[in-house]
Amino acid sequence: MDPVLQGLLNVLSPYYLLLMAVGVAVGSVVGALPGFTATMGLTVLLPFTFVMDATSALVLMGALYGAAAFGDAVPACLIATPGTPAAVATAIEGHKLTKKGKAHQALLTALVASALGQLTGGLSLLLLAAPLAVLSLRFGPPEVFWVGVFGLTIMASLTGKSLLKGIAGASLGLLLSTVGVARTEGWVRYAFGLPQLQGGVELVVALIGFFTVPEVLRMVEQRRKEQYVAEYRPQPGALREVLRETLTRPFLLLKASLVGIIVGIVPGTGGPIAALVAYNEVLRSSKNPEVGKGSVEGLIAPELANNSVAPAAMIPTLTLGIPGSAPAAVILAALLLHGVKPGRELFGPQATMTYTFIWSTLVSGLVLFAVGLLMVRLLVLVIRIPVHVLAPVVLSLAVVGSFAVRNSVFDVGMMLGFGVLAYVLRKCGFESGPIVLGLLLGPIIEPALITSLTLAQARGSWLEVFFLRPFSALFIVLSVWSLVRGLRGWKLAQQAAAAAEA
Amino acid sequence: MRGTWRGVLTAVLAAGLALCLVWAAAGAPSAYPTRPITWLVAFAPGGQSDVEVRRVQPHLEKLLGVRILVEYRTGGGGAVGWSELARARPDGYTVGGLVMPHMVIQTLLRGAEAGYRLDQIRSIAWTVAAPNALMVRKDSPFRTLRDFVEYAKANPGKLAVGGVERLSPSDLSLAQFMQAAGIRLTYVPIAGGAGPVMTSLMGGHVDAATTAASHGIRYKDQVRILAVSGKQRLKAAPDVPTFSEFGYNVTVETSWGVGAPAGVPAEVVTRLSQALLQVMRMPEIRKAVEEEGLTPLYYGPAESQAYVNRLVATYRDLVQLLR
Repeated sequence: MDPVLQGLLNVLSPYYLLLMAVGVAVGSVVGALPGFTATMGLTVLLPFTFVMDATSALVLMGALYGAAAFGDAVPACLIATPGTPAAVATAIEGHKLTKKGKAHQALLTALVASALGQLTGGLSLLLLAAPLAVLSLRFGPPEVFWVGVFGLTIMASLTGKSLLKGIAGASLGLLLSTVGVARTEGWVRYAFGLPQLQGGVELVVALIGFFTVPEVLRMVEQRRKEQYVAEYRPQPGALREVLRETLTRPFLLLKASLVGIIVGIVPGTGGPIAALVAYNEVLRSSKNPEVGKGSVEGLIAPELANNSVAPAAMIPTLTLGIPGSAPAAVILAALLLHGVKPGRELFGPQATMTYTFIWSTLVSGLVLFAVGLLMVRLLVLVIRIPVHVLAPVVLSLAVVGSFAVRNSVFDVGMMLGFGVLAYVLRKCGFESGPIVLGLLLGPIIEPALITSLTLAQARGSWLEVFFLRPFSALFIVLSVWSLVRGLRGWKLAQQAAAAAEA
Repeated sequence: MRGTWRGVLTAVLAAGLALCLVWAAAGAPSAYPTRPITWLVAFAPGGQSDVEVRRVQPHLEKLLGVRILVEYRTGGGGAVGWSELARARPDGYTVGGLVMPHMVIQTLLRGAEAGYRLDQIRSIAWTVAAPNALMVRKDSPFRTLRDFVEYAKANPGKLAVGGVERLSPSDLSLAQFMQAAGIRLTYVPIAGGAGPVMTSLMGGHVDAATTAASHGIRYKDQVRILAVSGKQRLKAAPDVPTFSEFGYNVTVETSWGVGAPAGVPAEVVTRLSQALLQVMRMPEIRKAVEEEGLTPLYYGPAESQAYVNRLVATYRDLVQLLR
C-alpha cells in the first residue's frame, strides 16, 4: 500500500491514538512547569522508547514535543510565568487577558491556536518537506545573523514607555548572554573565576528570574489593595467566542503559521523567536485597539507560531538529519539509536514509518485539543487560589524549576538575584521583555557574526558575505522595515497616551 | 493472650533476621552495584556523548542489575560536567562520560579555571573513537586530497574550511594538516556542534568541512570525504584514504570513554570496565558503531590511563602550535 495512506491508517489505530494521548498529557505537564522544557521531557522519555519500535518512539516523542508548546502557555496566562522560553509573548498578552477576568478565554485561545499551529506545521511537513529542506540549507551563518538582528528589531513593541530604556534592557540581555565560555572561540568571559559561571546564564533560569519573581512580589504587594486578578466566573460561551475570534481571521492564522514554519526550518532558532516575531507582527498590523492590552487576537499569533515550529523543525531533522531545534535533536538521537538513518532511507524503505509520524503530528493536534479541553476546566481554577497560598507555591515552583535545569544550587541563587533585579528595574520603568529578548538572541547572533566575519576573511569581501546574499538582503530589508514601523507605532502610541492624559 | 505475644515476637525476630540478611548482602564487596548509578553527560541531549551512553545503557543495566540514570551537566565545553564529576563522591555510584581531546584542552587552556584537574578523574574505559575527516560537497571540483592541496598552495587562505568551534578536534586536526602539507586555509569556527557544520557545507557556505568522519558517512549522498585521520581506513568507507597515505601526519580523533572521581575503589573500576567492554564486544553494538563510521575501542583501566597520558602530551604540543 502507498506509505502515505498506510501511515494515515496506522495513526488512526487505537494503539497510536493512545500513545499520542500519553505524549500529549506528559508534554502539557512538562511544558506547564516552569523550568521544565520539552527537551527535558524527551530525555526522560528516551529510555522508555528503547522497548518500543522506532515508529512508536517517534509518535510518542512528537506528541510530547507539540503538547509542551501548549503547556507552557498555561502558567504564562495564569501567573505571568512562561512555562518555557517560547511563552514570553504569551506571558505578556495572555496574562493581561487573565487580569481582565478572562482566564478561561486565554487558556482556550492558547489551546485552539496551539492545535491549529500543530495542524499547519504538520501540513508543511506532509506537503512541503522536500522544498523546505532545500530552503533550510540556504540559511548559512550570515543569514542566521540577519534573522537574529531581525528578531532584535521587535524590541520596540516589547518596551514600555521609554524606548531608550528598552534599548538599554536589550543591551543588558545581550551582555548577559556573553557570560561563560564563548560559543565559537572558547574564551571564558565574565566568569570571575567561578566554575559555575562557565556554562553561562541558562536561559530558563533567567526567564524564571525575570518573569516569575517580580510577578510573585507584585502579587504580594497588591494583596491588600485588590484581588490579584479580576474575579473569575465560569463562562459557558467562552469556547464558542474563542473559536469565532480565531477562525474568522484566516489571514492572521496564515501569517503566524508562515512565521512558525520558516523559523522552524532555520537551524539554530526555534519556538521563542517564532512566537515573538508573530506577536510583534500582530501588534503592528492589527487595527483592534485591545491587541497588546490583553486580547484573543493578540494571543493567537504567538501560540500558533510556537506550535507550528514543532513539526516544521522536524523537516530538516527527517530529511537532512539536522535538528531544527533542541527537542528535535533528542528525537534525532532516538532515531539513530533505533538504527534509523535520516534522509533518503526515511523517505525510501522506511517511508511508512515516516508518514505515520508525519500524520501523527497532524492528528496529535486534534488529540491535544480534546485532552486540553478537559485540562483547561481544571487549570483555570488555579487563579481562584488565594494569594497567600499561590505566591509561596509559585515561588517554590520557581526554585525547583531553576534547580532542575542543571541541578545547580548556584542557578537558584542566580534566579533569585535576577528576580530582585527585575523587580527593581521594573519599578524604574525597565520591562523584562527586552532583557529576555537580548538574552535569547545573543547566543544566535554572536556566533553567527563571528563565523560570518571569518568567512568574509576567506572570501576577501565583506560586502558579498554580509549584504549580497539573497536571504541576507531579504532579512536586512525586513529588519529596516520592522524598525521603522516599530518606531512609528511606538511614537503614535505615546502620542495617543499623551492625548488621553491631557 | 500469651499466644499473641509469641506471634508478635516471632514476627519481629523473623523481620530482624531478614533485615540482617539484606545488610549482609549489601555489605558483601562483590555486590557492587546495589543501587542506581548516575551517569553524568557533559554535553547536550542528542549529542554524541548522549548517544554513546544511550547505546550501552539498556545492556549495561541488564548486566549490572541496576538502573543507569543519565543526567546532563552541560556548559563550558564540557567543563561544567567534568568539574562536577571530579567533585562527586568516589563510591562508584556517580560516573561520567569523558570526551577527548576536549577534556585535555579545557585544562590546557584554562588551568584552574576549568574547575577540574585530569588527575581528579579516573578513566574506567574508552569505548569509541571518531577519526576526523576533511570533506567537500559532492559537486566540488576537488576530487582528491591532492587537488585540494594544490589549489590551497596556489591560493593561500582562500579556502574556507568549516569546523566545530575553535581549539576543537576540527581546529586541531586542520592545524596538523596545514602544518604537514605546508598550506594555509581559513578555518571557520561554527557554533552548535557538527550539525550546523554539515549544513554549512551542504548549503555551500564553506568550501570544505572538517569534523568527525561519522558525519560525512551519514551524508554520503551529499558529501565526499577526501581523507580521514588515523592509521587505518574506516570500515564504513574503505575507499577513503587516510592522511598518512599522502604522507601527512594527522592524528586527531575524538574519543568517548567513562570515568569516575579519583579514589574510586579498584573493584568498582574493574567491575564497570569489564561490563562496559563486554557490552561493546556484543556483535550488534560493534556492527552499529562501525556502520556509523566510528571505531570501537576496548581500553580497560590500565590502557585507558596510558591513552589519556599519551593524548595529554600530543595536545600540549598542538595547542602550543595554535596559540
